Amino acid sequence: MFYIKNKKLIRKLAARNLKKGMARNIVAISAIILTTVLFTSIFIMSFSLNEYFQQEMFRQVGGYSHASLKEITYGQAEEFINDKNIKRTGLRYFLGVVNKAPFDRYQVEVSYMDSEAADIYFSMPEKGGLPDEDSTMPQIATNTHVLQLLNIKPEVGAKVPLSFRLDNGEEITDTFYLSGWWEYDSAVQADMVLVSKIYCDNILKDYKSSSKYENTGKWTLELFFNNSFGIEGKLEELLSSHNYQCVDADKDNYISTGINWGYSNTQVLNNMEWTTAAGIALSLFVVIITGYLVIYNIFRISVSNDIHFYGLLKTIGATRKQLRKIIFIQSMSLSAAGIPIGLLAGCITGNALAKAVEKGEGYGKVIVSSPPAAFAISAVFALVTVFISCFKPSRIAGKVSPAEAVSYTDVNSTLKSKKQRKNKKRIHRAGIVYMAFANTGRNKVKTGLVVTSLVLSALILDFTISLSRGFDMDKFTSKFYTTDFIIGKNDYLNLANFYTGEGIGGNIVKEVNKQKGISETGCIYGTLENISTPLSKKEIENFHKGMGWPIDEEYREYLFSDEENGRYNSFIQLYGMDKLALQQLKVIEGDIYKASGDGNYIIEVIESDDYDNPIKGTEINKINDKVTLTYGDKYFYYDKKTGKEIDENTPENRIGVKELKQNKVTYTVCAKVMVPVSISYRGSSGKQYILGSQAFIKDTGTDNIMAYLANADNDKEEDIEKFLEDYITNTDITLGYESKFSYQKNFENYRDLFVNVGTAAAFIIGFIGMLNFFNTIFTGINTRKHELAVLQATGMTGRQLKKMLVYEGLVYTCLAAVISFIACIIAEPLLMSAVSSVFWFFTKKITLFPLLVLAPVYAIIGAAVPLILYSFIARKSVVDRLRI
Amino acid sequence: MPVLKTENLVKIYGSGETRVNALAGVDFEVGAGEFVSIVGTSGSGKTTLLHMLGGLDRPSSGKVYVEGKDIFSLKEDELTVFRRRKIGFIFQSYNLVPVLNVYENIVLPVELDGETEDREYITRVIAMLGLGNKLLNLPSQLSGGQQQRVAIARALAAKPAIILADEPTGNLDSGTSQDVLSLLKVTGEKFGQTIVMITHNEEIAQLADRIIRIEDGRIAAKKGRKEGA
Repeated sequence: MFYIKNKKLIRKLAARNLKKGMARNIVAISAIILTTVLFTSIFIMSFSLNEYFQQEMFRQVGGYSHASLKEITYGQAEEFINDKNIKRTGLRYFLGVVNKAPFDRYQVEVSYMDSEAADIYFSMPEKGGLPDEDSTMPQIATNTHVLQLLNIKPEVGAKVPLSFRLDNGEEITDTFYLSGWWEYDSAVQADMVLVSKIYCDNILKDYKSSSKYENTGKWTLELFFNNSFGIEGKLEELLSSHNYQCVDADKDNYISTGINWGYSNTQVLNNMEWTTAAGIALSLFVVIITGYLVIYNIFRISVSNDIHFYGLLKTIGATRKQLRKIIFIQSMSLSAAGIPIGLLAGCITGNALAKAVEKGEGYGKVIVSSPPAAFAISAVFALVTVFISCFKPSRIAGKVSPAEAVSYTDVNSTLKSKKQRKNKKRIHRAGIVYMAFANTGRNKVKTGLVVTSLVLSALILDFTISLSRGFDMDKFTSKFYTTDFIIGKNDYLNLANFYTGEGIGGNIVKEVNKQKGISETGCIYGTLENISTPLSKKEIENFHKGMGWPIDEEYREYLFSDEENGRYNSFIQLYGMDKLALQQLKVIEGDIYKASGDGNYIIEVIESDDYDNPIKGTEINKINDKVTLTYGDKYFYYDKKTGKEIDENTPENRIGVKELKQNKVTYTVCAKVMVPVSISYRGSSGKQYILGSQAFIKDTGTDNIMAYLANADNDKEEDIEKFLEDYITNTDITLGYESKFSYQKNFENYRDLFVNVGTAAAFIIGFIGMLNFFNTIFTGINTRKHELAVLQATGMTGRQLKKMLVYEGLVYTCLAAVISFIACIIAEPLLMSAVSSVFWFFTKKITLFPLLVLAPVYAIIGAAVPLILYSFIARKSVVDRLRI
Repeated sequence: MPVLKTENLVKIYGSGETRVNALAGVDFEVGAGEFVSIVGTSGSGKTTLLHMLGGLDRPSSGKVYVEGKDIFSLKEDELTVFRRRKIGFIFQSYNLVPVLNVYENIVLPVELDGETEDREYITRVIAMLGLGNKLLNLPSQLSGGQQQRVAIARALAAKPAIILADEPTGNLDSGTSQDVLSLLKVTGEKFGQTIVMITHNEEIAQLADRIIRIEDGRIAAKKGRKEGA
């Protein structure tokens, strides 16, 4: 209706008014900076963690490309390389695998890779370079694991004799020169040996393939799209645009493909725990509230102070919209100054916190990600916070009544409610304490905002400390830590986190026993051979229900396929334990030591949940029940031509079957126990039982040691740890160990993480709270300069005046302290219950001492800030101040 | 047609015991180019009346017409725009915008309206009020008399239908008061401006063409200066 070109004027008014209040601007900008810092830190941390988990997954997958086209010809690869939808590619030319001892237990692949592919496969030499195409001598690049297995020192130029097998079975043996090497990363599953393209071409010159499923001589094209969203769809589209498909392998235009499941939007986000998501959402909410409290208060105070100005403009003819715009422009100008600084500071804080988190997770590699998106989102959140914070104040300015604004100088009186007007009628003695209370009560909203922001920071600090104290080391260690040291295969301890059937071998046992200071040792034997026991249908179903394993139709058919007298043979997991291992079990009932002697005793394992409670349904036997175990397979499948056990290459028409005589042993249940995770199979696939070591070796016929337990004298623990560290680094890298110390360290890292992040948040939020307090006191004193001078002129001494101001400060901070206490007493038990339901190693502990420490700090600040601010005003004489 | 006309203007504050009849049925008219004084003692309701005339406050009942327009039939924003176009204010406490210089203050109502100022007209106003050498000063750098002259210039800038002056000399010494009032009267005559001035000072009121006396929220008597003399 009134479209008017007056933007310039509005901007001028906003800018001039802004310039006038530099002190206010500094406070507002600081608040915006801190709010932005909080947002940026949160986003960078989230992005970094996401990136970090992705990297972890890429390492497990073995590469970080979006997708790959496998088993293609070079010609096919060329068709795709220049496609406009592909951003980056890497090429790999597969030669063969190294499979002779000592490599028979590992996946070692020989291939040519261009530099992009080497990077994608984490196979870029850290020292030296990729094999030289022009070299007259064949060169290879590989990792320290392969070199160690070959007993070759990693030095560029070192001679490396190596045999490998092509897919048609042909063996190639050659002596190479080491062109470069990189550190072994135990998370990457396959070891890579890289050769030059020319070398591959020479080897494959006369290659005759024996099957169409061979990889030798085939190319793999690793590719990246513009972004990692919807990789599967993009891949299908790409293939069809080149007239290929990846669905029907029987058709000629089929290309085998792989999608990297490590990418967040294909994997991580789906797996993000709701607790993490809720945590991020909650922190964002707290930051918005914190930022809102202070920025809103600043603008509100500022508008109240300038109400005369806005009223005047309205009298002259400024519309509500124009007034709102003036405030909007001011807030945006302050944001323009504060947000960039906040982003920068947030980047630094976020990086530091992300590093702390990664350290807390117990991994060495630090990947901090600060993508532009993190900054963009933080900036938007900060802007939104500023925007909602100044929304109400701008409405107040817009609504100002011109008649009142030009007539009155005391803003608050114009905003007073009828109730307050009535209260005024009461007659009070003008005592200093009363005046201080009355002054803070003049504007309840302002007081409320300041107190809320102070309370918020006190609560966050208290909760953080309560949380960190609640992290119960005893609970944590009792779950994981049994003996001082647990030695096992890396696969078992770290990588697969499941016993793969391979024992640790006798050498390490001998070496450990030789060490001085070893006080006790014990073996835990394990086997993946088939062992079964007959269970009733109900027992099987209850066990699955208790473990939370679903039974679908196909699985049901398998479970109940082997019936004998109305019971079904079910596979079990069996342990053999020495005395030291038996001592670590949590006995529910019975005598575990009977199992060590003769008399065919067996211990039943009851599964436990994270809180060490027995899982209902996993308990099947009673003490003195008889349990019969059947060892070995029922049938033997053999190659009719060779008589040997079949493998995947045996043609179907040559498979023969014969029934085996199984070994059956009946035991008596002597005890029921729960097995601590650290000495368990670390993954259960069925009902579990424990035998004494001798019985285990005798009945299973295997003596593979799954884990070797050792306790050391207190003063020798460090020496033993050093020995083990040296052994697994230099003698047998397939081994690993866990020690009480490493658990404690993990735990401390984890706890430190919470303490660091929580304290940082409490500190920033506390700082924002203080800023709010400072601003309120400052503007309170500044706008009442005249009023304070009048009080002094009418007989109040400087001392009394200071006293009054100190009381005012104390009203805010003491009120905050009292409310914090009450809120803590109410909210903390609830919060602690929620946390202990998420973290099993958490013990509820209500902590109020941070508040006891904080209360005097608040009191000191409450008294000191008004005094300091007043001292600036008091530099002018009362007469001078009265003239203002 | 009168430039300003009120019809049974009533303003009541509070209720019950605290009920105050600030205006109790005020009717009068002001013709074009007239200079009218509204005189009354403290608490007589004259400032309330001025607020009603300027659309700063709404009456409990009754009407105010400016150039024939019932100003309280307008919505708030429409009234604001009407005010900046049709009414100029001069306050006792000058009420200049402290962050704007003299010239910017003077042209503020015009600029708020998105118009370009009539330079020639503004220059004449400035010259007449003797502010030519103070245009770049901020209000805080001026004396009271100078600030009030800026306020007069600002009131004239938008060529309003009517100027409302609330105790324009209340904060000034007697010498300066005379100067400011003479300037107000002369510029008013020169530009044919209708002026309604509120004052408690009989002597000052005499400068007007007509005096309206207000007591307890009612018009006590109406007399022209010449009649009264």
